[in-house]
Amino acid sequence: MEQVYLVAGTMAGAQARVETLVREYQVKLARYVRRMVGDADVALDITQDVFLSAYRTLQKDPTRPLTGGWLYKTATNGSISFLRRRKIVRFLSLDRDRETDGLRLDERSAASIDLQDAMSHLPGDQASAIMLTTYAGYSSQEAAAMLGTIADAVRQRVCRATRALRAAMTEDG
Amino acid sequence: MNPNACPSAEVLAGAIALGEATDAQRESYRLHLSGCEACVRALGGERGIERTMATFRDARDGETWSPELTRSIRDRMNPRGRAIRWGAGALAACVALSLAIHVAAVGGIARYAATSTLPVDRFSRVEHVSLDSAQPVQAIAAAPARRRLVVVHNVVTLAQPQRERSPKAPPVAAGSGVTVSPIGGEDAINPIPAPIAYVEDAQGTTAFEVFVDQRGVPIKCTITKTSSYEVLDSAVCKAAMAAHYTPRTIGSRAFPGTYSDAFTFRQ
Repeated sequence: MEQVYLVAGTMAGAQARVETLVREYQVKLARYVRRMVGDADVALDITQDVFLSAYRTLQKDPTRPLTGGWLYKTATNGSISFLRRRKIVRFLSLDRDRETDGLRLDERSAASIDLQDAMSHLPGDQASAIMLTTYAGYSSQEAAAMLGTIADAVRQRVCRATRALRAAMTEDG
Repeated sequence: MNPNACPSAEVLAGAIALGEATDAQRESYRLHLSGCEACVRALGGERGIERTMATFRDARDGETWSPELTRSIRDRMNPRGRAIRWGAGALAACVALSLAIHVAAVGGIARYAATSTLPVDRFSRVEHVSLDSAQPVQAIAAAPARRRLVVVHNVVTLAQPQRERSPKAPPVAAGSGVTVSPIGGEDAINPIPAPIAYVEDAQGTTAFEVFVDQRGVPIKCTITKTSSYEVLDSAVCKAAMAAHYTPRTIGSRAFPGTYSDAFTFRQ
């Protein structure tokens, strides 16, 4: 009986913690993933998977501290996995449409569309570096910890991403 | 991307883009650009980098999309609760559907029973009896029914005053039941009370007399003994007037006549 209570208490505690994370990070994380993958529906799926992954992690280890960084890291990995799969599918389907469908009408400014278009051409490591830093607001040191690299590598990726974005937006403009 | 850009310059440019560069790092970057044409073309100056990042931040700040995931994630975290909710919803839907079908079926049957004009389905027992023996002599019809209304077909002989016979035209034999008879026998008269009879719980005996012309066509129906229920009396006369009769004949000549009979209704 004690084990049942312990499991029940653990599940309830994990669920409560995840719900707290959801309330705090759902919008920021969903927007982040949408910029990464360029599709709102996919972003919602990935974001939900991130929170469910957090729930499963807390079920296994209720004492483990989960931070926003952990969520962004998981979301980044999920987004990059999706982009890799989509790259294969796109190669097969020759789909070259612009990646602007994920944006709401009131968000479709020229800069936003150009940015999204340019983002879709960035390699995953560069996109995650610039998104974690400039978009999510983490420092290069924090982003490096999430991405498993060093701060200078993140800065270099941000630099290359910035060059690619500037070139893409200049060409479109 | 320019592959000739220097890695160290890229790190400095990244630090400038992120706003993490110190003054010394900025100065170092400027010095590097002054001596490296490739990095100038590839990376650009500090202002260009900062404008690109400002565009990026503006696009972020202009976003309005605010999805709500709490409910869906809670459902996925607690699939049993969701299953219970789905099950409860499905059960409620089934119960509601069953009730609707039951109400429709019962209502439909009741409406059909109330408006049906087929007495056979409604009379549990219809007997043709003779008052002389007070025993049933013939079963007209029998069928299960929700409402029970027994109709007993009585052959009665009403006490009528003797009438003088006319030499030219034979007198109408009141209540004879012999000289004029329905074609098809007594069963040819089959009274069908209106549904209101069931509502009023109508019971009683109705005796009638039908005047038939020489062609065998009923001309008039008279209630000689009322059941006290108009619905029963009218049903009897309606049935009597709907029947055809064999006229009274003397020799080969037909004459008008009467036919008398009675029905007893019991619920």
